[in-house]
Amino acid sequence: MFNLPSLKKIGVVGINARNLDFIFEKNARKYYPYADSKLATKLLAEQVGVQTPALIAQLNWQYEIKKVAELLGDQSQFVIKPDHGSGGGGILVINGMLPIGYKKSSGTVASMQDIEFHCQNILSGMFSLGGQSDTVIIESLVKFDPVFEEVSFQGVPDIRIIVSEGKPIMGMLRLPTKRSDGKANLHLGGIGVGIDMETGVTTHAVQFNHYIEHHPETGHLFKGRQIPQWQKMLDIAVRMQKASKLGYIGVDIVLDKELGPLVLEINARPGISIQIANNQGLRDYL
Amino acid sequence: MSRTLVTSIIALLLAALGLGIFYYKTGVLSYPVKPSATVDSWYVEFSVNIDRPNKRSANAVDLTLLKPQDNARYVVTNLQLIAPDFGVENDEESNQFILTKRKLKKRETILLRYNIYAIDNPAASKKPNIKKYTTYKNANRIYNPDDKTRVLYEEIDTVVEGAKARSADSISFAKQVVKTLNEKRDMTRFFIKEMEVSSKESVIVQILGAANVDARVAHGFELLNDDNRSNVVNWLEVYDYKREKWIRIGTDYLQAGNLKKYFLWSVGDDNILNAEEKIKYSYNLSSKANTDGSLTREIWLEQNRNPFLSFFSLQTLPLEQQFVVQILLLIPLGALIVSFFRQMIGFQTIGTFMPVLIALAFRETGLIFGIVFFFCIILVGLLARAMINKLHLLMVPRLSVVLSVIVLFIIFLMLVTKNQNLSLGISVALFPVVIITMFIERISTILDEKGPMDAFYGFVGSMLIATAIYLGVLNDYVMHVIFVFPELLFVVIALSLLLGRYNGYKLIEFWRFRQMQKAHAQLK
Repeated sequence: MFNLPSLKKIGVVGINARNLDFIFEKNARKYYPYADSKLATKLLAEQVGVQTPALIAQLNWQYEIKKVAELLGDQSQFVIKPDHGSGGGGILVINGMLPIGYKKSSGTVASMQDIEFHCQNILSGMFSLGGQSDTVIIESLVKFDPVFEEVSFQGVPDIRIIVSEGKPIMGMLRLPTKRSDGKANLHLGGIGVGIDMETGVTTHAVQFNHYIEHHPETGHLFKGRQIPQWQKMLDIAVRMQKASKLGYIGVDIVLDKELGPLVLEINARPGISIQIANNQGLRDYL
Repeated sequence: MSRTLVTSIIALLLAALGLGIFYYKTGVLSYPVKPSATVDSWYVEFSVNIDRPNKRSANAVDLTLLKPQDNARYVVTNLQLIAPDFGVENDEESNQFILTKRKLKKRETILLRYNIYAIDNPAASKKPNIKKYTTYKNANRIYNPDDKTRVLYEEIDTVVEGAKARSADSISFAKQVVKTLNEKRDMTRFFIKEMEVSSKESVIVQILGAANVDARVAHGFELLNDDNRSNVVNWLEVYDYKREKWIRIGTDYLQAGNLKKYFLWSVGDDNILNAEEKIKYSYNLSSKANTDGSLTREIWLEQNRNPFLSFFSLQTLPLEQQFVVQILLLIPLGALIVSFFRQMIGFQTIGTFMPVLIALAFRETGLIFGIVFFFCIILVGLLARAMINKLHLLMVPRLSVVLSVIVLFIIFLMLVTKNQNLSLGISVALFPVVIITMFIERISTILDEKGPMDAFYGFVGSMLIATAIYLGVLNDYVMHVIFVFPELLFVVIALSLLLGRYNGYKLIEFWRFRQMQKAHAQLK
């Protein structure tokens, strides 16, 4: 174990270094709202001609909750999320209508009351940083491209591209598992797959900081998959970074089978696990 | 210049400043770094609350407050009386303050405070003067056959004869008298009435006097090493001519051995506080021991070589404020430990500085019980929250429901433990209930969003850091050092500054990136 190369030698950036040397250096506080508010991100994307999932409704006030049913109409595939959510908290995915209510992505049923309660929790600031009152966003559900179907379990796989001052420097495909409850969050047991920046072909896959070859549920190999429209995604990521004025961000992109790449959100504090998935340190890009 | 460099320079300057003052105080002024094992000085506060009996009663009041005096063991300094709006007469001759006021307010407060320190060599003190208190000597016995006093004298003789038969010297004789009076309550009541005195101790002094034994009533209180409330108690002192000193004898449950720790405030039949009129009053007596050797004494006696430093020394603050400052000073230290555990090791906590508050709460409950109690309370809170979760309540009212359940649970715990001699009652109540409620809300959000593992890590992390703070910071040694050398907070700031620019790895990251290291090793 003493023969291992040091983290420094590999160029691994720790959380402290990420904060001090990347985020504090490159991201001015005043531009954080572009990343912290999903509605602000949407607006920004619109300005630079980048597509995002269609907005069905936004709720700012308690009394508007009563109108949710009306606003939803006969929509049966949508996502409810907090404007200022973090770490994927407070996101409710509805992908179908059942006689007894809405069908959640996890397969369980949500009644109209459950949906209203969820909206209420979002408004009261339960999922926002610091607990201040928040806005509810209702978006249409992404009809995700079946290209990643073999390697994901429920939920929506997305692609995180880290852009530093106009240059896309690292990418990762994030895949949901049974363990992560359909969320593509690495922290919850989602899988991160490194992407070769030149070609857009997947490389190493990692779950809970350990390398794995096959998807635990579907059994398919992660390595060697081509990400469709890779160059376009890189272009979108760079455009979002420039528009946000934040120097170092993670751009989360989903692939819709009809609309192509859509930006879900941008992150002013992108995580450091992407280094493991790419088997490469971020230090060189400083 | 890079930010890290600037930060380091500032940190260096602050550390140099803090350590410089520290060095000057320890090296040049020889302030003690360690708390001394033997306590030799105390800070005493005696506050009296007077309540006006009712609106129509005569409100004029006339109080005498006996001044504490130097005695064979202790010297009294810095005597200070705070009695706003009272007429104060400082009677040097009879060593008392006379406080007068025509019209009482609804509630009046009088504060007397002073410092005492032990005399280094009690044996060298001057001979005690012996004042005679007795009025019932045989020589004074002039009575008519039908006079009531005759019965009194006969009763005194009975007690004296009985005690003499069972004793060898004046001390054992006095003890026998005490014993007799303790056994015969009726007789004691009779003596108090006939002798027109106020206490059993006064009766004993008179009886001993009748038998030519010099004795006096002593008033004082126990000097406690930990900050605590004391009560004024009375005991008996008998003069031993052979040893040329007053011997203390307990008249109640107090034993002579325990009396050694008592400070003698005054002697004589009068109580420390006497009121002419019948008024209701209550007092608070608190004392705080100084564990810093001769330092406090020097400051009190203004012998300090540096008046500037003694102005800034916290020992000159009033007692209540000293207690507050002592806790205040520990909070930055606790925060530094939290920073260290989070930035260098990578602990997760629930709420940034929650562990500091938990550690402070442990001060009241003790470590083991504190952890168990905290765990129980979190469990109860989570259970309550789970039960009301289905009701879909708004967040703030939901918090207040959880808060109420926790308060109920704490009261329940107090009721359960009240008969078990655990003295936990007050301690659990001091747990910061509101903070616990927020803690529970945070935990349940983490449970919902990130799963039980994260909630568990957060809980364990918070507990471990709280334990580290409790053991590492909230001990006598650190409390003494930071209280005597508050300039060390500059060093704490310096360390925090450096931690704030620490861009190295956290300990857990070596584990997190372990597989990546292995993969790189294979590539080579």
